Amino acid sequence: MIIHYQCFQFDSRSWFGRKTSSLFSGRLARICRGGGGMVMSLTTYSILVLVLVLAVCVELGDAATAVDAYRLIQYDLDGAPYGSRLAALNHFAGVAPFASGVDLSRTAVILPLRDLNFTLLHEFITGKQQLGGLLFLLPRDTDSARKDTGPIRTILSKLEHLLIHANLPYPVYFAHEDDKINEVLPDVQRGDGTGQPASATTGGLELMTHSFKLVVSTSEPKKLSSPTITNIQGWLPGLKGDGTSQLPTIAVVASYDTFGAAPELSVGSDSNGSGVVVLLEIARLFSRLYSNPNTRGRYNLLFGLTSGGPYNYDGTMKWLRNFDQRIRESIEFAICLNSVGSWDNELWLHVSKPPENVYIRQVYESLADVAKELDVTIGLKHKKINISNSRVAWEHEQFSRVRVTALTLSELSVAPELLHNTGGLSDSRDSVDDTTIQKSIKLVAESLGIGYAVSLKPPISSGSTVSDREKILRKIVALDQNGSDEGHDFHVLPLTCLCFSSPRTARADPSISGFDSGIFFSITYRLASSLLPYVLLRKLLLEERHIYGYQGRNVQIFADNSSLALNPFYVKSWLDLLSQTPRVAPFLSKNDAIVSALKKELADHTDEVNVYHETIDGMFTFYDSTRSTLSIYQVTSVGFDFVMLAIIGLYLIVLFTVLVIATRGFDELLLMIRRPPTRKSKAA
Amino acid sequence: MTLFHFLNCALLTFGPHAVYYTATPLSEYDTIGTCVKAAIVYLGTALVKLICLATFLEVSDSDSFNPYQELLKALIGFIDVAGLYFALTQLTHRNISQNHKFQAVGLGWAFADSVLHRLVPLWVGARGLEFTWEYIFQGIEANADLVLNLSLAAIGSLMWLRRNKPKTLIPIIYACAGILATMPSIISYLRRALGWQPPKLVAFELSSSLVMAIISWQLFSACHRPA
Repeated sequence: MIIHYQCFQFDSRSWFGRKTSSLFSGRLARICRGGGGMVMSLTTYSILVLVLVLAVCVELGDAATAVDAYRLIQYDLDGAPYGSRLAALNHFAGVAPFASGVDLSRTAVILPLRDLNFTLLHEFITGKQQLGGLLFLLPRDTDSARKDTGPIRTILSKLEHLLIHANLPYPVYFAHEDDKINEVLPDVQRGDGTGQPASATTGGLELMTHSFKLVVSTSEPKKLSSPTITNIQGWLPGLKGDGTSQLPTIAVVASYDTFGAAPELSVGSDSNGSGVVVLLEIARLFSRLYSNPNTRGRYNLLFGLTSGGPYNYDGTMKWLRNFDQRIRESIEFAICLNSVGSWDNELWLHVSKPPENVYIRQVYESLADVAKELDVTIGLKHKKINISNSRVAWEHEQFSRVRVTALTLSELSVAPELLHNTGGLSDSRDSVDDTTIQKSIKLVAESLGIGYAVSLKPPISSGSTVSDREKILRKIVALDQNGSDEGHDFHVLPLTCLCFSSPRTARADPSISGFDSGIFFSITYRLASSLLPYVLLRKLLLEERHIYGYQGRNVQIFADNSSLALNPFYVKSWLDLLSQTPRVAPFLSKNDAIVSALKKELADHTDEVNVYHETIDGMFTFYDSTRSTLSIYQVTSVGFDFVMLAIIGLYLIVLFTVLVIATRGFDELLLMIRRPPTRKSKAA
Repeated sequence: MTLFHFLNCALLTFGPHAVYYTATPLSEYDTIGTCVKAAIVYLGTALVKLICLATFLEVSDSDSFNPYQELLKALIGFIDVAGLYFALTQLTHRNISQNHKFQAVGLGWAFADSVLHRLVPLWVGARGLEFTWEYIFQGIEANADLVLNLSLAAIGSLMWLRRNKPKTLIPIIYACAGILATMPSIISYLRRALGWQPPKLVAFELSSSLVMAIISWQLFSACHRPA
């Protein structure tokens, strides 16, 4: 409120001093004569002036409507400005349709999103039309029926694409629809659309129309000096055998931050809230497995929650470069999760190394096997990395650049463009499906589980033949039929389900069910002789099913109704939390609540948690002021005030004449009117 | 311009008092002292009323009409009448006729009432950017209040200052006084219980004050007719 500040720059006392001194000098004679009365008039005069000076400071006062408004993001990419470049707004409101050729540079245009006119918006943006401001009204979450969200989401994503790549030199805000705003809209439309009040010269009823002013009083947006991105990693060490060699590591990585048109509304439930939830649940399941040394696998597990995803996976690159060389070399492969929350029955595995690579084939085949159980398909897509192109479309590409085998599991079949599919306005809680996420979790967990199972045994020579295999099987069956020793923990018949009872309760139960609370999967160490390489064991398992007729049975470590089962409430609660937290990285402080929450959660599940803070590289610059309060005032034109003054003046004059006539008589009135002219003539 | 609106509303609210003072013979007889004294008595009365209200009334969140609370408020409203009695009878006035005395007291009373109840809301509210009709209605209400207070002062002077009144008129006089004193309660009943909107309420106030003014004028002139 500049006017306010200017008022207080008046030093009233010195002003008074000068005024009073001039008065004194001018009327010195009269002061000597009528001292008391003169001083009285002086002080009243000065008080009047003071009051007037104070009164000119217009205070905004209470508005009829005040809502939260979220500003469009403002950023520079390689120096080129994008987004909304201004924040303060103080203009009349206008609603489409407008008369052609009308000047909108002093109008704040309100566009409700339900029936957004894209051609009009295109005209504004591509025609570089100067507007006073733009306000988008988002439909309320509560009143939109489930079936209604589809078209709204397409509108939102189209709008977002348009706005993110446009340079708009006026303030652009998003607000949720409100009863009060909805009342205002038809009133605004009734005018000529521009909302500007008629000037005082036009007469008639136009003087009485009200117009609405949209005001956002906030300061100029400033650059964020060095925005930090925070990577969180959790380390779950495997069981070291007798050798001191470094255990192989498997990494599961997901980026948790988002980017969208309105940073305060970018909650990214699918991109990449789904990936984060899958990672956390897998961490929880494997931490249960790893908590007992008997069942601890011989792989280290590394969980990484990276930031900076939308910005060419900058955070992932910096995280990897900080790694200890030995650990980095011990990573056998890394699975990156990107948007796994809203697919129907096809997931994609994206790789940058050729698919003939041993590890990639291994992972793909294990995933495909589990996928078959769940009646879904996994496709494989190979995209070579172009070193000269700085665009990093998938997270696994950053791993490949440091020569670590990695793949990305995603529902997207094509690589997303820069700043697309990063969890913006259209990505809200209802764009993910809980059961789909549970399927994803099962997929990744079980396929990791196969590798985990195999890792429990020390490796053997790979020379077994088919006959050896049969011998081994019979040995296993014999062991089983011999009854249970203590420590027996391997059922052959239900080999198909690889289910396991606890070592204590030796059960010869051939049925698949019968899981008690302490279920562990461990191929017994007593079978040390019957060790098979991973691939052979897998083939064996598949054949087993066939031999023993347990076709179609699920191979499940993390079976339902077991203690290692997927917890749907855990999934739901984390998904709900992530869907209510906007996570645009430059606006997350180092100790932001969500970062601490993720860190604590990983700390619960893993042995060692580290948090690394980096800064985003120089390609992106961000500006603050993402959220303000929008006030809508109903204002009248100056003409209206003049008319009111005329009416009131007339009323007072009529009152005066009536009273004079009633109490003193008509003659007095005539005398009063005629007196001033006679006085004037006397003076002349 | 919002300051403009503030000036308009202030003119509407306080203008009639000034106009009344200048238009009628009150200004000729320089009865400003009486007006000021009446205003001070009103201030005292208002303070006493506030203390009573704070002691006896319960604060309720809802805006509904609670008959007991309203009854209490009406009883406390009678303190107003007592204050007016004090102003009319106990204060020493210069030698002004009874005719002008009640007018001066009524005017001062109404002016103090307007200033105390309406100036601050006007200052705080009308200068804002937002436009509402509220302050215009408040101004019209102030006018109606002026007329009501003048009628009450007239009836009051009849009751307490005039000795020989025609017997038949006495009950009417007291009835009128009763109606005038309980007028605030009636208005709040209409606003809360029946839910009348401001325009309707203001129209009712204007019409009722005009009617009461005519009645009290007739009574006054009837009592002052030479026998």
